Amino acid sequence: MRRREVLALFASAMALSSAMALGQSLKRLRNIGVLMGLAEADPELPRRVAIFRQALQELGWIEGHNIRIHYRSAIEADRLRLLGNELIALQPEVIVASSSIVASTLLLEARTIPVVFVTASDPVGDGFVASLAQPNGNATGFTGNLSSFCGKWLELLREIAPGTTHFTALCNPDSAPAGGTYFLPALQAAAASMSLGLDVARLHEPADIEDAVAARSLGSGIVVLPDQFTFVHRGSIVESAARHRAPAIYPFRPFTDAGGLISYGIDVLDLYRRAPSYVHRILNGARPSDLPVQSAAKIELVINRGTARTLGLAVPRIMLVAADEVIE
Amino acid sequence: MKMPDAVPPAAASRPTSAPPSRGQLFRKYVGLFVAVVCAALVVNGLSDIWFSFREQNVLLMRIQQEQAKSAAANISQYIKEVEGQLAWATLLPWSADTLDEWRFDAARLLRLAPAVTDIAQLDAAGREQIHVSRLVKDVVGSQTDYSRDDSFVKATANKVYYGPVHFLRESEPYMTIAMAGVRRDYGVIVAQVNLKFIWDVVSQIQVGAHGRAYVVDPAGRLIAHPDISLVLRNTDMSRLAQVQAARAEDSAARFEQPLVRDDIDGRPVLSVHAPVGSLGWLVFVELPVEEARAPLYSSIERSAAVLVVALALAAFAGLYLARRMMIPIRALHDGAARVGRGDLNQRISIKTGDELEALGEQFNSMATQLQDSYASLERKVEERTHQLELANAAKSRFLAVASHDLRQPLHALGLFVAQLRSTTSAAERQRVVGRLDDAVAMMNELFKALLDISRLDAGALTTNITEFPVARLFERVHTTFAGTAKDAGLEFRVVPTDAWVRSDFVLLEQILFNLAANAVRYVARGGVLIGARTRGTDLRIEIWDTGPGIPGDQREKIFSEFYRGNDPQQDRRGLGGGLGLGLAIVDRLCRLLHHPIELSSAVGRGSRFSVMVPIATATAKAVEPPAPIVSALNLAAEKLIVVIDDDALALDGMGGLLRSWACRVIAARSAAEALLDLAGTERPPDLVISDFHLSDQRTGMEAIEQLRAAFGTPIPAFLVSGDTSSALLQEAQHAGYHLLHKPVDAMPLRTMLNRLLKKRGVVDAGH
Repeated sequence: MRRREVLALFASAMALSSAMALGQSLKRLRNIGVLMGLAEADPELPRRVAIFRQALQELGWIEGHNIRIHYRSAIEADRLRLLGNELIALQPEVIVASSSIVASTLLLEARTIPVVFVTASDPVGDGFVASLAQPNGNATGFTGNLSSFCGKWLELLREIAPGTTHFTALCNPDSAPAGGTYFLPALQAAAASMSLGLDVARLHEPADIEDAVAARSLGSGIVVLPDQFTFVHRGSIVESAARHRAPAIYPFRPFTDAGGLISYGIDVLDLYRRAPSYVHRILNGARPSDLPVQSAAKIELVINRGTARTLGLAVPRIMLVAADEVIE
Repeated sequence: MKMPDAVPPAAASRPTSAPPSRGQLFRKYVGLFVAVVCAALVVNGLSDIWFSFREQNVLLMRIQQEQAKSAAANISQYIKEVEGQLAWATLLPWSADTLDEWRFDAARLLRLAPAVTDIAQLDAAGREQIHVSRLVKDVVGSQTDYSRDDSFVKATANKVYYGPVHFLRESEPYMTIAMAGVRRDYGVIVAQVNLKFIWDVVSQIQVGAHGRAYVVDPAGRLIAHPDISLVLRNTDMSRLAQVQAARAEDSAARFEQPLVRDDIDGRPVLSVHAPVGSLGWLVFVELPVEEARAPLYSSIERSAAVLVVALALAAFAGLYLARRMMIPIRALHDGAARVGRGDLNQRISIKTGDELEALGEQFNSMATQLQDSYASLERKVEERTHQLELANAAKSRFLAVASHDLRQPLHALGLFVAQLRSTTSAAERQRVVGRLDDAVAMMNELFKALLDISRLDAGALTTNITEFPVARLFERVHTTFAGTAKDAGLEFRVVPTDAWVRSDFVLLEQILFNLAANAVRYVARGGVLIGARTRGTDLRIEIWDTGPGIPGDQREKIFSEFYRGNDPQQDRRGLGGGLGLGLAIVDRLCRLLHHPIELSSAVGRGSRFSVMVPIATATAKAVEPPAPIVSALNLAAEKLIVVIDDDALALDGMGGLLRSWACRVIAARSAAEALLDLAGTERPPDLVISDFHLSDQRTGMEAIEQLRAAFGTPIPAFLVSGDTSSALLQEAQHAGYHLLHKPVDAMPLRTMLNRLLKKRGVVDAGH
């Protein structure tokens, strides 16, 4: 009678709910991959991972609960390619690439897997996207330092080290954005407009750093261009600059943390905080071609006063005011 | 063609044995119960849902409004902060000397306002003097002319200028804010503000689970949206209805209902907006309609589930309750059916503790009452039957005794008549006639006594209460019985008294006569004494005799009819005139007059009968007792009397007697015959005597009426009849006629004659 119907209803409801719960627990963890071009001992690595994981958590993706993150990191191009393929083989739903060279390595193999590049200064030039507003491919992400920063770099270095009239640019065309064609022309133009001399040192190996720094003309300032190579070997560059008492301006904060004189550039860690929003969107079904390339939001000026003292440079007051951080 | 077997018509038309109402009450109760519960729940649920939906909508709208306003306020504040920071810079006058200070201020500003990427100072003429930027190299003294720019012109005019939102590098939203210096010669500061920071404000707005907040500029282009890509793509929202409506309406307008419109994805949403200050931007807060309605649907589901459960419960409860209610009702029904069938022994047992139990008890007591009534009715019927049998037996006995007693004189009469026929000597004939008289007298007595009893039983006697001296009564008694007593050698003494009593003279006389006659009859030697003694308000009239006495066990029985005592030898009068009715008559008369009668007696010594009669309250004027009807012989002489009787013998006898009294007599068999005989006479007859039962079913009353009508005068008349039944008596009395019973004695006949003839001209119609 009626009682039977009600009992049947209850029984079926319970069965259904239990099935759903069971199904949920059996649902597989979703895979994402993160490929970075850093040395495994690099202190930046854990910082980035921590921020990345935290930001994902805030969006509801908890490792081990509904997502599994595979981290890979290497410096050399070959190894990078190997690890990239490894990640691709895991068939993640999205791979996060740390810089332009990493992204381009990955995108050689990954044609369909969505790729989010955390920082790529010239994604159009590198062929990652068709345009910043409409990527039209399987990659999207965030731009990094702008080519317009070149003028800033020269200006700032001249301000902290007045009287410097000649500059040497360090970059690795193999790993620089757009093979170096993004920043170098801007730098050259800026130098020309400011009537400053400029040399370009193309580095291919870590040993080339010392040579380049040593070979520079006396009193020449160093401009380090944004590049995975320079980033990875920032320690060596800073050391060389210090040894040769060369004032240098760097594109990222970790350089000044490592002892560099002054850095002006985007906050990469902030991008690692913002990248998960795109990962989240992609996991929820958005296509990378619909997600426009964003530009970095935070630009920081960091001055290492200790290094300035060592070099016998007095930091102008205005720079102290303008600096986001002053390291002693 | 063969007819199919017909269905027996009786079977087809037999009515259903079960009454139509069986089970319907049960179903009605259950149905009603369930219906009431369901109706209540449904109404409750619906009203709940309706009101809560409305309330929720209002609540949602308010929340959304608050969110929109809050977001607008946030954005407005944000911009105002930037403005505020810029304002500091406008405090400085521009001049080449103040360059460094200016640069300091600019550097500070860039630190404090991360959204500002460029600051330019235009002098009072609109030429750019210095341009500080985060992104590009600072430019000093470019002197670029911006004097025609909106930024310079409007800022100079209105102090503050907000430029439209534009996109740099394809996808970065920027806005120009220009502020004029506090003094005109300070020039204008122009700042480029990156609006990406507003996205944080908008993204932080929690609108339900799937709701969104976004900002559009006055042109309807998206400035901020949780989905940044939409903003970077420079999405145009101006097509949306809510955007158009918002742009159209007054910014201060109030809105009551959240609009339901389609959003950019085409989903219906509840849309609320708020303006952002003087920027002219609009913040929209939108919630998908399904989400807004989700609680409604879940509420409906809940109510439906509750309804289903409650329906089940109500059905169970209804079934249970109805069954409980139906059991006593059915018990009552079955009990009533049993009573209807005549089975009164069963009692129904209802133990519900309410009105139904009381009803059951009432029912039981009713059945008990019915049983008792039946039982008592049966008993009464038995009793009555028994009584009737007794009465019947008494009547038969009465008849038997009466007929036996009648036979004696009748037998003697026959013998004497035979003797008379054959007797030749006059002396012998005289003697025989004397004996005939005695026999007739005896028969008369019997009949009179029977008539009296009959009249008394019929209640046909009416009392005529007067106050009179007892002495008069005693005198008459003495007169009547003294002679007889003396003949028998008995003393008959009457004690004189001057008391007055209140009673019926005639009936009291009869009582005393009967008692005296009884006494005289049964006393062998000694005598009879009659006296009176005062006892309070009553006078006790006593009749003493020295007779044999009446034993104790017979004292009640002597008052019954025909009782003559055990010893017939005690009846002295040779003729055995005592029929045993005398005391019965006395008994009845005493009852009628309410005079208690007592008897005390000692066997061998004598008896004393006493009657209590109330003493007259005041000695009234000596009222003549109703004059004994004196027969005046000459009253009847020469009168014309009509006699009607269908019996020839009776007619002859009556006519002869009347003629011997010197009356003129017309004797007829019927009224018609009488009228014929009376045809010649003009004067109406003086009297009509008619038999009650005439031939052709007529009554004497009718005959008399006929004659009266014929002559037009109320001729005096009376009836005679052999029918002694009390019904007849009452009928005659009711009609106003005297009635004499046959055989009519000469004396009473004459008395009636005189009575009626005396009142000639006045019709005695009714007593």
